[in-house]
Amino acid sequence: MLRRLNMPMLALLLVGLLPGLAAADEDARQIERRLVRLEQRMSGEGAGELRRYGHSVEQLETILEKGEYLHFRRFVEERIVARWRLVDAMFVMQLASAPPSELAPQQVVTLRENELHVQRIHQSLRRARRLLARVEKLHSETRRRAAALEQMRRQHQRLLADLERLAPAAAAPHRDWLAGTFTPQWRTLRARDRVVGEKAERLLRWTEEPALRPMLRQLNRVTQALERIRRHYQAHRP
Amino acid sequence: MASRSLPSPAPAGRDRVPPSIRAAGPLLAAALLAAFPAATPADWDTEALVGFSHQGYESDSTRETLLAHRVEVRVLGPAGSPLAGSLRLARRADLTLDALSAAASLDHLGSRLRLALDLRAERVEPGPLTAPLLSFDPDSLTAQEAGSAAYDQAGAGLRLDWTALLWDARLAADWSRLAYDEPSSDLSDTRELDLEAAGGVALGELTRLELDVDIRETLYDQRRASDGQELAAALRLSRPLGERWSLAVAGELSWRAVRDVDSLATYERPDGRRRRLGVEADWLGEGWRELALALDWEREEWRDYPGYFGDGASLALSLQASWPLGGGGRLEGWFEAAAFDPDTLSGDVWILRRGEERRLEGGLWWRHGEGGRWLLVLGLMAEDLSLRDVGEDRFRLLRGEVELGWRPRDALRASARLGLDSYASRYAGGGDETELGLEGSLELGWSPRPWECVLRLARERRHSFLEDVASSEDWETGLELRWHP
Repeated sequence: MLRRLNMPMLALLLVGLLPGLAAADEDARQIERRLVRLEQRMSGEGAGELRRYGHSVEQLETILEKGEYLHFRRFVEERIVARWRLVDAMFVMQLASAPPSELAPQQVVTLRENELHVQRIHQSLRRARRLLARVEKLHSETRRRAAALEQMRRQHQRLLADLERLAPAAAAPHRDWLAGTFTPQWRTLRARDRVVGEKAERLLRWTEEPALRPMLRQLNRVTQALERIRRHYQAHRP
Repeated sequence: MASRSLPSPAPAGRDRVPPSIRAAGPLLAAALLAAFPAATPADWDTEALVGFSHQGYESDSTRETLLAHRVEVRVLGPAGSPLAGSLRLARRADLTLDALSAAASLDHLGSRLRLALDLRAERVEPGPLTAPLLSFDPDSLTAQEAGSAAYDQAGAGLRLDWTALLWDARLAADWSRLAYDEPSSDLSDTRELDLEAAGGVALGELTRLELDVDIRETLYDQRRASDGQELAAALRLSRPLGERWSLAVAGELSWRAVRDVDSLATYERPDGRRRRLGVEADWLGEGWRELALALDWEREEWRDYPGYFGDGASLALSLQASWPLGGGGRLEGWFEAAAFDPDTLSGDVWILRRGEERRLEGGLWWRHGEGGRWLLVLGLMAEDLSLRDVGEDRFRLLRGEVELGWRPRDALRASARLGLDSYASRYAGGGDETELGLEGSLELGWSPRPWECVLRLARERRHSFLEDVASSEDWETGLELRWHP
């Protein structure tokens, strides 16, 4: 009797629940499709973000690990530091602080030599900037790709949490993909990126190295002094 | 490229594997066995990989060859148990890296609750081609090695996921430590703690609100760098629009604080904050039809520390699409346009402050015959970047690739890949640079289950034209064996 009474209620319950269950199934299917697409976009294949990230890291590694890094330091030593040693900063600064009305012939020669050395150093500084421009481009590219991948990873976690709520069994392969396929590759790339990224950062900020900073600051002062002397003699040219 | 006049890195501890790393593998294995006393070997999913390759690199001034190797063992399981474990032991040595790592994880998968614990240890030594980290000697102003870059790394992570009907929450803590063999003021031991708390809640039937808070604390032992904290908070609101469309709006705020500005390394970012606002729209059609659009605005503000890292704002638009073509083919494409505008330009030739930036990037990938006997993949990628500070530097990159795959039988496959790239740049200070790269690889795979054997031949040649012509060549001949019972 009790069963008979409950039958209509059961039917009503089923009628009420079935569309909800069907909707949940449809939601789960949609989420799973989104996950499949997202995994494709995150992957290390074709145009996948992991592959693009790997490519950027490899390019940066090629430049830094296979020569450019050493090349640049030698360049700074030979073309900037060695030339700076030839500049008589004291002489230039003294001339600039009290420019005499007339220079002795030997003073003119020394001044011209100093001017030439400083000009060459500035040429080398421009070249140094050019050498570093590509490192800067690749470094910002790896940062951008790492950030994009991080966003995608978080999106994958969100979708996975949604799918786990609706269909835990369907979520299992995607959880395995994230833990077993994506994460080890991503971690390896991140470690390589961190090592090479530190070198890139140091290279890009080389002018702020404590050992070079006083030299470059003094070079700036000498350049300004030379400019003052040049303006003074142009103004007083007969 | 210049000759490698500086001595190649020969760290004192090159052959010294610390006991902690040597013991990590067996210890982790023992811990896993103790956690699953009832599991038999058949319950575990095992995968082993051994690979040997002859690798080489040659440029105008450098030549290095190496018999590289890679060994990896992975154990997963036991199957069907609510408590799952995994162990991964790997050794990899190539031209730029020599690494030995061990990692283990334990996962408890409940119906609503997931608890995961992972432990990892790694020993990394530079490879024969790795350039040492250099700094300038204050007395002689010559470049010198800043210490051995060989290091040990260890870490542990704990993660808790809680999924309810209307909401979910995630808590994660990750601690890692990096210790160099010869710590110095340039390379010093680092400790990092990363805490993440995230949660999502359904607002009504369709709308969902998510909050993500990330705190990162970094501590250095003696390096010329300042300890610092980073805090990022993101709020994201998403809502489906009809059956196919979905829309999400996200706002993100992040702060960076340093403890001691005086000890800030020159390449480090000082105190600052970033604000980001993003809108994403997705359309998901039948088959592989998909369209995703995103618009992002970001503003960064830094303490004005010696004129670097200036403030500025960026705007980026991205479009990602995928479309099936007749005969089992599929076209994928993406396009990105981004701009960064600094508040002020550095105005100095040798200060590399971030200048004005305009970037366009796009790519198309066509795949035909996936899963069939023949596979053909054509890819094309292009980028145009302009950086303006004192003058304007311009970069253009074009990259194309073709891959042909053949699978005469299920267990046999062959593939050939050819890639060509061209890189051109024009600098404000004068001088053009062009680089051409050509790379090709052949792969032959035979997989009589449970074995898989892959023979790989790869070669890459690059020519760079900047004042002097420089060329370099990479090659690899390798064999990889995988066993997956």
